[in-house]
Amino acid sequence: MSTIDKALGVFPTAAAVQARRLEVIAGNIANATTPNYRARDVDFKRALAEAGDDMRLSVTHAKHVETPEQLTRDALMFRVPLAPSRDGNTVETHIEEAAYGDAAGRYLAALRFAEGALSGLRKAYRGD
Amino acid sequence: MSLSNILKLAGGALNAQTVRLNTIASNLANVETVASSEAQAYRAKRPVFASVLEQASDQLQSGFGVKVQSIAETNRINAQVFDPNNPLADAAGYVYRSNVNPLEEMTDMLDAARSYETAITTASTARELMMRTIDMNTK
Repeated sequence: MSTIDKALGVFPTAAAVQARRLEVIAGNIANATTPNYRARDVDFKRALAEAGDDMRLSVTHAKHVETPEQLTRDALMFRVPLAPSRDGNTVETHIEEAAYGDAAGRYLAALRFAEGALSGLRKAYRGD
Repeated sequence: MSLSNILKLAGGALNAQTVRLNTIASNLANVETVASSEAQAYRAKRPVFASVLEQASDQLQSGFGVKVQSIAETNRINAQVFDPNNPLADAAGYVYRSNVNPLEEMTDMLDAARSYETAITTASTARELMMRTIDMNTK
């Protein structure tokens, strides 16, 4: 693990999980009128825990590029609807919109924290 | 990268809603259409949506897109109206009206327009986050 990776900590993974969440929720919103579609969401805790495992390619050569954290395993869960619908669709658009906004906010937060860590590093390198 | 995939998903949703708006326009245009037999009479059309798994270039399982699977016709009966002066009337003097319910179409249109707007918002939020990520640490 490089110094930059250590300084960034968990935030790149958190941003990746939130980006994945955004994608899944966008899929839910797209399928708001698809019969028998069941809304899903990413279980953040599980996704983060799985990404924390040894999920990287091992670097054995100087020319190998270290892979960024990736979520290869899924932590998708079905959402429990508040009210059942006749066509078997469990997407509740207002809930999905709220969840989308939530994920976007958390993504931005992770980005902001990573930025903070990077600017700290930069300060240290520059020595000012 | 999953953020750019959202744009693809939203594009699919926009396409599906456009097809839906098109069928609604076609149904509304044919509200007053009459025909000389039940088989020829206009029947309201409805798109049937299905979810598709977008194949991403990386191995990650990505979000589910939407596509128009087929366009179904409603099976509500076509009203028979006695109108012997109509050139399309059958031997007994009846014409068959289209089975479109304008109220139903109007509410469906509102729903389609709202879904369309939601898809656009989804895409623009994703775009904003992408730009924000690109601009990381440049200030």
